[in-house]
Amino acid sequence: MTFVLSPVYFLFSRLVCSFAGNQSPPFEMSSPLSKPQVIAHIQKSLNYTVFDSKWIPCSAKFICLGNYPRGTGVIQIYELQHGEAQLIKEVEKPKPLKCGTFGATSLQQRHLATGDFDGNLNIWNLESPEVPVYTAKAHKEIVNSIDGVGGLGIGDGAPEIVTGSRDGTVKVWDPRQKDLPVANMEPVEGETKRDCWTVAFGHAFNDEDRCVCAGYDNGDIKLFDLRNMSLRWETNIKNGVCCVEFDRKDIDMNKLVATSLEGKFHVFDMRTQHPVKGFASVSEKAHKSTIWQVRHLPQNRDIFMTAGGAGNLHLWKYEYPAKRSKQDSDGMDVGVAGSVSLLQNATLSSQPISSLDWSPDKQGLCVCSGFDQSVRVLIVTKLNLV
Amino acid sequence: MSGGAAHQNPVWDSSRKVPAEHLDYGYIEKCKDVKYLEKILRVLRSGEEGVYSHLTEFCESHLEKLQPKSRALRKETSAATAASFSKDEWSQILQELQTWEEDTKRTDMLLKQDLFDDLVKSKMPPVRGSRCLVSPSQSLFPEARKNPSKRAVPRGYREWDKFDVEKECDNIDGDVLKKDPPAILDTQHPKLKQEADVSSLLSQRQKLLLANREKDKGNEAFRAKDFKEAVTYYSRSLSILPTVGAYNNRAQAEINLSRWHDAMRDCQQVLELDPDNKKALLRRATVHNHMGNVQLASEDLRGVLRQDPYNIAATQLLSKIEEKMSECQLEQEQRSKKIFIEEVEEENSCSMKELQTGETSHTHTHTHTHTHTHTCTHTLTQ
Repeated sequence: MTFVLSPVYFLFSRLVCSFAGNQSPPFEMSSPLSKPQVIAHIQKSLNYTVFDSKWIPCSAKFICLGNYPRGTGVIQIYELQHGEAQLIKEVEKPKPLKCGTFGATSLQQRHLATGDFDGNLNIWNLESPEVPVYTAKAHKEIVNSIDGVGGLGIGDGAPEIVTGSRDGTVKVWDPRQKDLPVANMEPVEGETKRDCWTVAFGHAFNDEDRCVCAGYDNGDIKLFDLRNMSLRWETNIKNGVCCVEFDRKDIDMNKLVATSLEGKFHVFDMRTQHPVKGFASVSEKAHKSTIWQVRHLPQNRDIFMTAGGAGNLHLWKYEYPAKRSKQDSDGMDVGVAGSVSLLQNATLSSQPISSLDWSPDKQGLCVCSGFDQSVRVLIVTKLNLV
Repeated sequence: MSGGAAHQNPVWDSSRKVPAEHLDYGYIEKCKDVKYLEKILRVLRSGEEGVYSHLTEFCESHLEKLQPKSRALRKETSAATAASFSKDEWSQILQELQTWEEDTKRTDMLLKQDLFDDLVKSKMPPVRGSRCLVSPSQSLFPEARKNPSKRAVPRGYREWDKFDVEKECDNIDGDVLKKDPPAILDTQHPKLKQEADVSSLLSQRQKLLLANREKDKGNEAFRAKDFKEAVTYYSRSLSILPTVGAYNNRAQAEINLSRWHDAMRDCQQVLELDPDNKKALLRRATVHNHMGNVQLASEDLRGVLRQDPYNIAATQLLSKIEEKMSECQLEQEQRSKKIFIEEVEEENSCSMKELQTGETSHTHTHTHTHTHTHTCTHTLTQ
C-alpha cells in the first residue's frame, strides 16, 4: 500500500507545478475559453435597510428602496459618474418601501411603482417625487412583491401592475383606473390564506394574452391566466417560493424559474403543458441557503443569475434539449426539460443578497443590494461569448 | 472550499469509507468512476487523511476530464477585481462602461424632451373588464361550476315573457367560446402579430430601441432553434424600423426553414442598403446554390472572398460548388456529344438538363445544410 511513483506521475506533477508557477496572469492564459467574470465595480454603504434596487430604464441611474431605522420609508436615486455612484436625490416616505417596478410606465415618463409595508401601491414621478401620481390602498398587509408589464415597449397590451401581499391576495392594477384592481386573485372564504412572497408577469405577447405567476410561503406556485380569468396551472415545490420570473415577459411564455427557501431552484419549460403532468422542469441545488432572487439577462433569455442567502451570486445558462416536446403513450404532448450549467459564481458578502437587477440597456451591468446595508454595482464580463 | 465537504461528511461515512491506498496518483488516474472520484476528492479536501494539495489538484483535473460539469468541481470564488485581468482588458472594460455612461446620459436627456407621450396613450388597449375575482384554488374549468342553478331551474310562463332571445343567444355564443379548456390554449400557433403595434409618432430613438428589442427576441428564438418564431420577431423588428441586422438574421432563419424565395428577398434588401455586406452575400450564395444558380452563387462567394480572403465558410462552399460545376461540365460535354448525334431538340434537352442539375444540386447540398446552419448560428448580428 505504498505510493506508486510512476513516470506518468512525475510528468504530471511537473505539469501541475509549471501551471502553478505561471499563475500570475490566469485569465490571459485561457483567454479564448475564459468564462464570464463578476466584478464588484462599486460598493456603497447605506444608512438604512435596503429592500430593492432597480435601474431606471434608458439611463445610468438606479434607485434603492428601503426602511430608515426610525421606521419611515426611503427612495434614493443614484447616478453612475466616472466609476462612482453619486446620490442625486433622496426622499423620505411615511411607510417603509418593500418593492418597486418600472414595468408599466412609458420610456419618457419612467414612473416608479412601489409597494409598502402598509399595503399601499404608489406610483411616483421621480422628477417630482413628493406626491404620488397614483395611489391605492392595495392590500391589508405588506406588499411583498410587485411587477409591471405593458410599459417600456415590453409586452403588448395595457400597462398593468401586479402586487402580491402577506394578506394572501394577488391583485392586478391599471394606472388608469382609480382605487380598484382590474383583477383580484384571492382564496375563497374558508380557505387558509397563504403569504404571497412573489409575483411576476409573463405571456404578454399580444393584446389579449397575459399571465401572472405567484409563489407562496407553503411552496405553492400558481399561474393565473388573465385572458380567461382562470387558474391555468399550479404546483408545489415543497419549500417557500422566494422568487419567480419568466425568462421574458413579452413572448409566448417560454421558461419560468422559481427559487426556494432551502437553496433549490426549478426551471419550467412553459411551452408545452400536459393536462395532467403540467410543465416539465429541471431543478438544481445551488446555494447552501435561501435563493432570494432570480433575474434573467435582458439580452439573452437563457442566462440568469441567482442571489443567495450566503451573500453569493450564481450565473447559470439553460440549455434546451434536442426536442422540447414529445408524445406520451396517450398521444398527448409532454414537455422535455433541458439542463442548467453553472457559468460563474461570486461571493460578495456574508449577508444575504436580497435584490438584483440587470441593466436593460448595458449588457452585463447589474445592481444588487443586501442585508449588509449596501448596494453594489457589478459588471459581468464576456456574456456575449457564452 | 472545504465547507461542502464538511457538510456532506455523514453521508459517505456511513456507507463506504475511502481506503487510504486509494488516495494515490496511480489509483486516481485509473479510476473511471465519477461518483467515487468525487468521494475521494471530498476526503482529500476535508484534510482528514492529511493535506496533499498537489494530489487534490490532480484529482480535480482528472475528474474534470471525465465529467467537466461535476458539482464537486464547483468552488466558491470571490468577485473579480482589477487584479484578475490584464491591464488592457481592465482598461477596456472601464472604457466601455464610460462610453456607455456618456451615451446613455445623452439618450436619457433626449427622451425627456420627446413629447409624444399623450399621443401614444390614445392607442392603448382599454382597461381590463370589470373587477374579476379568481380564486387561487378554482378549477381549470370554471364554467362547469359557474351558476349551475340558473340553467336547471324551470322557467315560469311569466319569466318566458321576459325572455330576450337576442341576449340569450349571445350568452350561448359566449359560453361556446369559453368552453375551450384554457389548458390547451393556442400552444401550437401563438397568435403573434407579424407587425408590432407601435405608434408611428414614436421618435426615431425609441423606434430603434424597440426594433432592437424585437430583434433580440428573434435571436433568442433562433438559438432555441425555433426558426418560425424567430422569423416573426425579425418581421416585427423590421415593421418598426428596417435594419440590416434584422434583414440578415431573418434571411438566415428563412434559409433554415428552406424558404428560399423569402431568404433571397431579404438578402437583396440588405445588399440594397449595404452592397458589400459579407453575411448577406454569403447567405445569398447559399440560397442561389439551393435554387440551382451555381454560377450566381460562385460570383457572390468570390465577392465575399475579395473582402475577406480567409473566410472559411465561403471557401468551403465555393470549393463545393466548383466541384459540382466541373462535374456538370463533364456531364454536359458527354451529353452534348450524344445530342450532337441525335441532332434533334437540342434546346429542349438542354433546358431539361439545367432543370435536372438544379434538382440534383438541391438534393446534393441538402445534406450540407445542417453543418452550414450550425456555423451560421454564431454569426447572428447582435
